[in-house]
Amino acid sequence: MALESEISTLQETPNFRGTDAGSMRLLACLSDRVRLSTGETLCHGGDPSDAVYIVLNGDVEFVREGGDGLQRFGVDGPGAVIGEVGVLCDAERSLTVRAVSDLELLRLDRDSFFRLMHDKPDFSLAVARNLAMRLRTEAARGF
Amino acid sequence: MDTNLFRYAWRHSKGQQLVLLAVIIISLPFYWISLEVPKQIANDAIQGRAFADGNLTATLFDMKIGLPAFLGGGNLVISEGLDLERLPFLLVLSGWFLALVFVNGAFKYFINLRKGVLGETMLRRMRHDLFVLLLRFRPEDVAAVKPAEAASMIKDEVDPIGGFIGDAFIQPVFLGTQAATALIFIFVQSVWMGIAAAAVVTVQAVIIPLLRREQLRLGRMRQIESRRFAGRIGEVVETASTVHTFGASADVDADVANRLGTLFTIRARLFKRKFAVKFLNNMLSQVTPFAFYSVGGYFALRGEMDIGQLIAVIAAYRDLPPPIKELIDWDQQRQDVTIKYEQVIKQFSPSKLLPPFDEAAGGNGFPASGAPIEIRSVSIGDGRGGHVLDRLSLTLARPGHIAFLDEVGGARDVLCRLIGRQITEYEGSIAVGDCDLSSFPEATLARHLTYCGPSPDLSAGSLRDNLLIGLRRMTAAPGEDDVDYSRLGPGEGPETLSRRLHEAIDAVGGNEHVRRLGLNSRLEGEFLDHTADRIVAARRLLHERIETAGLTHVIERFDATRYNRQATIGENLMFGIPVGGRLKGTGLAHDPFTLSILEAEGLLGSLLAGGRKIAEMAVETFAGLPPDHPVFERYSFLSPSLVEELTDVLDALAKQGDWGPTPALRGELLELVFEFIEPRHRIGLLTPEFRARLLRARQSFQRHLPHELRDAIEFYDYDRYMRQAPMLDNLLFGRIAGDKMHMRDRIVPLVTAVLTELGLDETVFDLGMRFDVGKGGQNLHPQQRARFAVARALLRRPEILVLNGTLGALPAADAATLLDGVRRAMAGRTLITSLGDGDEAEGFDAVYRFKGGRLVSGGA
Repeated sequence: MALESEISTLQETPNFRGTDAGSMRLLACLSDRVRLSTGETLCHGGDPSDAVYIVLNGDVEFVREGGDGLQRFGVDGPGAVIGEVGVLCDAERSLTVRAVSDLELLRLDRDSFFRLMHDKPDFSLAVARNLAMRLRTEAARGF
Repeated sequence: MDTNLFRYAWRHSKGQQLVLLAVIIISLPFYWISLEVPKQIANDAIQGRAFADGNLTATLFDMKIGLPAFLGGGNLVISEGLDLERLPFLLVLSGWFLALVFVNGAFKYFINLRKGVLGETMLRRMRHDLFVLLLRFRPEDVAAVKPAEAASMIKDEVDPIGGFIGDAFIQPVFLGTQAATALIFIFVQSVWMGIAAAAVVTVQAVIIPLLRREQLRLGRMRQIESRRFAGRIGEVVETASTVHTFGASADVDADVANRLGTLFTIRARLFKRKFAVKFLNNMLSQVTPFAFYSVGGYFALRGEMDIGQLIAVIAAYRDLPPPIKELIDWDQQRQDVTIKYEQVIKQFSPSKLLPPFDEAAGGNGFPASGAPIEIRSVSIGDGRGGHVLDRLSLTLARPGHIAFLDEVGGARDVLCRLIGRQITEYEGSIAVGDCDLSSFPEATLARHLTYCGPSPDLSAGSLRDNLLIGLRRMTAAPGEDDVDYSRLGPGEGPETLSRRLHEAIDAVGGNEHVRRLGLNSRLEGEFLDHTADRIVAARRLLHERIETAGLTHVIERFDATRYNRQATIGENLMFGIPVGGRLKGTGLAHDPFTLSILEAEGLLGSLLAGGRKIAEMAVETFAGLPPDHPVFERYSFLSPSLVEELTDVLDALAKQGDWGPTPALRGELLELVFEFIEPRHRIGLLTPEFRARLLRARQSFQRHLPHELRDAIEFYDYDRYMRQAPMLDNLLFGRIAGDKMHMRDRIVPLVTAVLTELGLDETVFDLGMRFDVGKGGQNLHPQQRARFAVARALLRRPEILVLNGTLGALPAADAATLLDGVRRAMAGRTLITSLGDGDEAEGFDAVYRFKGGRLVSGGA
């Protein structure tokens, strides 16, 4: 997939709809495109937060590995931003992320993520919106 | 430095100035004689006065000194002279005149040369003095200095001052005595003519400078008005919308027209003044000879003056205006340079300076390692009436590991900077034992206390040079060991240094980083001779290990029959690396043979389209990004300046239309596309058809490669070491497929194990140490910069290490690991660090918590 199709794919997702093509292009230029096969693990809870991932194609599942087995936290698809909380909070990854189908992602290292947040407000807004939506979902569950 | 330029110049160049003054005095009699000789030629030789009374010969160069009566009177004959007939007399006299021209020229040559050397010597001294002053600026004063301005002052602005110092004393004496000699000579020939010449010189010396002064004033005024005019235009452009909204266009136009009128008036006055000066100069230089010819001729006709005298006067007068003009110029230069000197000195005269960094300058020795750090009633304002630190008194026991807890930018940071002597202006006192912190000379303090701040700065040069800063002798000859081991401590030498480097790098978790830098570097020099064969052996072993681990698919090997997606298009076409000459750098894109191959295989069109796509993407996305933006690291073949150039390339391409790109534009586009790697840059060029064609082109390229290009490429060969390729490419004989997650993490341990097994670890480490970190460390990742900055501090093995915010660049987990390493390395010594919360400070000997500039809890 070339940069241009990555940009259109992202702009079609709810998280990045309406974002400026220039911002998305810079995001794509700063990222590596990586692949994972079904069942492979993207990262484990407790890993250092060294990068943020954005799903281009495929679905991921968030789980917590513990002594009493796996605790599932849901599935997300294209446009999902993964690992930004750990990077923003400068903390370890809290959950394990697995590919539930063949997966294509953009990998944005920590410094590039911060730089993009700083340079492109619409990207920052998309990340913030994504976080707010998750918070809202979690809050709804709690109530 | 002295605030008066002349005093400064005299103090440092007195000896040389006096020698030159003496030479000038010695030159004057020769100059006088050179004015006399033409008179003698005209009167004695041409008019024959020496051969009056029918004498066939006359005596030349006879020298007699008349003796006073008490010595018996008469003459003391020093030289009998030469008796010559009239023609030889003329020729010898003319020869004598020529010889004097040479002698006077030689004096001028010597004086000018010495003046130049003197000026350059003083320039060197002045630049050095200023630089030393800059080094002695207090940290808070350095922070206020704009680096470009300071550099420009030391490099450019003092340049004319140095040049002037050569002239400062010599020029007025040299020119003044020359002018005076010529004037006195004219007076001696004829008083009236002397008066006329003196009058003209006076006019030149008094009126012309006055006119010029006005000319300068007008010039300055024009400059200021031009600047205002430009500013006004800029302002109108910025507020164009407001101007139109409020219908102020006519007013703005009138204002600009008015400014243009002012500029015109100033320019017109400037022209008047300038040409008036020129007119006066021309007139004076023409009118005076008129006076000499008419008045001098009148005296000659009346017999009150001879022809020889008239010729000599005219010749002497010819020598008179240039020195006067140069003296006027000197005076003008003096005014300019004095102002410039005062301005530079002002910039380099802060209210306080640090103690001289020369250890010989004295100062306190550093107290024993058990002496505590005493902070007594220290306060620092926040600039808004409050305090960042409010009357803090604290005793920090040594040795010990001490943590200050507060928010970023709070008291913890200020306190670290105070102890690190990064802030020197505060109320209260800080002492180590009995000695005030400010009393230690730089060299003493640096040996015992090291401060590591939040933005560690590295300089262009190798990683090793950066780590060894302060330990290296800059004066070491090439090839000579440049480390001053004594600065490391007693008993230190090359062997211990290597161990210390490893310890420091290890403590900051930097081994993997150094190894990565080493693996991405090329073997050169003696490394290459000793290691190349071992790397080829390591390659075979590594491939066995990779195969055993089932990871063969992770490496895209250099295979003559396959396109390597991890390599650039240029590398794929050549199936090798350019060695130098025609194909290196951008050479491949402009090489006629390469172009013919691409054209024959029908690749040129798609490559040019790819190049254009990259250019468009770069202009749209990267234009205006700062040079340190990470995107330029990923697209290393694009720089901000190249992105700017690409705008012109795209404009030119648009103008070309259907004609297609010119050879120059074609070269520019190919340069871009040859650097392209699909998984990284992803412009969608690598279709199966393109790959197939490129492989065909590769075969043609190798088959038809002209003889003269045979040595320009190092082809990939499994059995040979590739000199132009980095170490990792050589070990893998290929590249890691970057698009499959976690693959690098699986390959790297295999590489590391093989290197260790074959005893190549040290070679890779040394290679990593040779990595050029770039200006400000820009070739390193910010996290690497922080790690290496801490390693640099540890290498000094200071008694006190102050770590203030350096680890902020690292993720929290890495920072905690690094801090553990630092604590182990600093065991038994003093570590002072600023931290965010108490958890991070677990195990510290003393933890102090601050809030609002006050100590709220803490102690051992």
